[in-house]
Amino acid sequence: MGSTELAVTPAPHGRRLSGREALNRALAPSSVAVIGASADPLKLGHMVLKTLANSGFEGKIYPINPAAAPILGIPTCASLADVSGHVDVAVVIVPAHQLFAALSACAAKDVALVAAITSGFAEAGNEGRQLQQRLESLLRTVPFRLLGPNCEGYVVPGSKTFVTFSMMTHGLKSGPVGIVGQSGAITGTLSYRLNKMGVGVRALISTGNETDLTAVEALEWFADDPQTTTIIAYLEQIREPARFIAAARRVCGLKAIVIEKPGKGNATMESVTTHTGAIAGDDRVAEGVFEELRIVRARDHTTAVDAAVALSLGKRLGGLRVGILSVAGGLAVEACDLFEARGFEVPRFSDELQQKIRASLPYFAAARNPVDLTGAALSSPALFRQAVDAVVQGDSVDAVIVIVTFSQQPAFAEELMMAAKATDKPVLIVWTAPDTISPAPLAVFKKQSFPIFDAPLRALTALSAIARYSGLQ
Amino acid sequence: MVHEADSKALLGEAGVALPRRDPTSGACVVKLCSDQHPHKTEHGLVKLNVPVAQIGEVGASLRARDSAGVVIVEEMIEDGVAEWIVGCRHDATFGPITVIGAGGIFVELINEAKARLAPVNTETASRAIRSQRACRLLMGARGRPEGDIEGLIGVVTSVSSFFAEHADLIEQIEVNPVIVRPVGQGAVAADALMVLRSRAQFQN
Repeated sequence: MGSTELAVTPAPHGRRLSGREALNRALAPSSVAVIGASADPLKLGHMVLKTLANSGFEGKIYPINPAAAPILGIPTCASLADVSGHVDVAVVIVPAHQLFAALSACAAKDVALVAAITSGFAEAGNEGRQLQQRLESLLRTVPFRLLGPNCEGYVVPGSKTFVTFSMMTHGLKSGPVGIVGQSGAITGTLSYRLNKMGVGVRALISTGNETDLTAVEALEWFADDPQTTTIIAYLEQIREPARFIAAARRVCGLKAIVIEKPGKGNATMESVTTHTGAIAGDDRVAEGVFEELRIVRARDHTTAVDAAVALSLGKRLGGLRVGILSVAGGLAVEACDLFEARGFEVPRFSDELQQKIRASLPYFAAARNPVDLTGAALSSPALFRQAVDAVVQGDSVDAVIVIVTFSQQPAFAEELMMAAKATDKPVLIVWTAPDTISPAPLAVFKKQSFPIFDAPLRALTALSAIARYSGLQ
Repeated sequence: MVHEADSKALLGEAGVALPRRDPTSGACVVKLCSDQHPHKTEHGLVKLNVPVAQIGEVGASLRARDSAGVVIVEEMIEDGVAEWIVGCRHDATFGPITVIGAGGIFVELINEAKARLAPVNTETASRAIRSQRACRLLMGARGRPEGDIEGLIGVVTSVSSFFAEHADLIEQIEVNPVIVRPVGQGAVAADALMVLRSRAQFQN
């Protein structure tokens, strides 16, 4: 490989930082070095610097490039050693065989975390695997922790720390959902979609090859972080299962975890001479363990978002009975079919309750459950509120789904949010019209980070997630 | 492989409910348990409905097939409400796990088995059992009696605890079928098999 490895100066404290210590410093850093910064706008080394510079980051940024000419107007050093100030985090975008020199420089500089965007390791064939082994040996001698290699970095909107080249994270807003994943593309689109639904992100961490820091350590960090209420993880492999199980048990019922994990099919590698072997394949076991730990399993990233969004509402289900209130009969029936097929009950309301609901509706309104509020309800926001209040009182249902087609009155959003907040039971809003048709009410929901769903199927994903988290499904 | 007689000896000591041995009346099951023939039924080594008076004769004829085998005589259980399977193995990712499924030998057909981390506690076992649609067969279906779900839970917890405790020695345990009897009669491990980890020293 030809490069000379610099001797590593042992850190003053002489020990490796724990994952928690490294992440604590990295997620609210006072300084970030970009090793491999580039003036060429097509290079990743440029995109990373630009993203960080434009994010509003308030700490010091140190581009590192051998030419030492300023990039994007920021003074640039030829090497990390030339930086006089303290450096908390280094993000590295140099070719694979140059990574080792960069890491040695980081060790000497008391960096807490190195985010190695550099690729060409274990994911890249034999030569790459050899490099990875060399990397593993080096890491045993340094104090900092490594994210990656081959990762997309990390983002913390709350501290305006954008250490990534991912364009999906531009403009990401802060909020209670922690995202960790072994695929940067997936964590990027998860964060974008969450934001689009009005839900913010606590931090996004892309772990890449996980040569050092694993997704499980990041998950542990989120589990212990007071600002995180919901965690989404994209995991192809669970590298530290005992720690994973311990962390999941610790937060079971307190913080929700959504995991997207690709299935590998049911075949086990060993020869199957017993029924036990045949019925306990990899994926079946993962399903069972997730069910036991109340972890929501998402089959793809769009359902992961709907699940996380629902869970961020912070409500639990006491049972599986659902009340459906809709302005349109067709959508009510669609919702009814979907929910019943997934194990929910859409119980017939008592005569008393039906009467109560019907009191403010036209004579032709159906109130059995599902309730057809009729189009007339679109002129009366208060009617919705009254109907929801009537249904959640007492013990008829455990959750309510409200289906609206279109309306331009912001008062609808306000009344529905008040109805949802007035009860511990989940009240999920399906609103089929887009912002071009219902701009005012949808803006009101978004402003308060109150997620709404544009189809009954998505509300079903949402409620199923709450059911799983509540230990019911 | 640890054959049925030895497996049952170990599991019995661990508190797993077993069919009564050497009954003095009623119909019996006579089996030859042997390392040479792990799949007894296929080799005609399980005799059902044997009257007490013929135990000696049937036992002798089985022993003649394999002198190294052990003959066991158990009560024949005729009031089973349903059969379930309880299996334990090491999962590559999650470590020691237990699977619980309705159907006994038909478990793959019914295909509802649930995996849980070993050891499985009472609450977790109960929920894993009751969440299977086939559990309805234990709740008095079509005029049939209700099954002793508590008994089934007991078999799950005792087998999984035993496995978890000795996970370094045992590769796999399969209790199949667990015969769930009517409420008040319990549930028993009608058959059991263990596979030891390759370099384990097995002490009696």
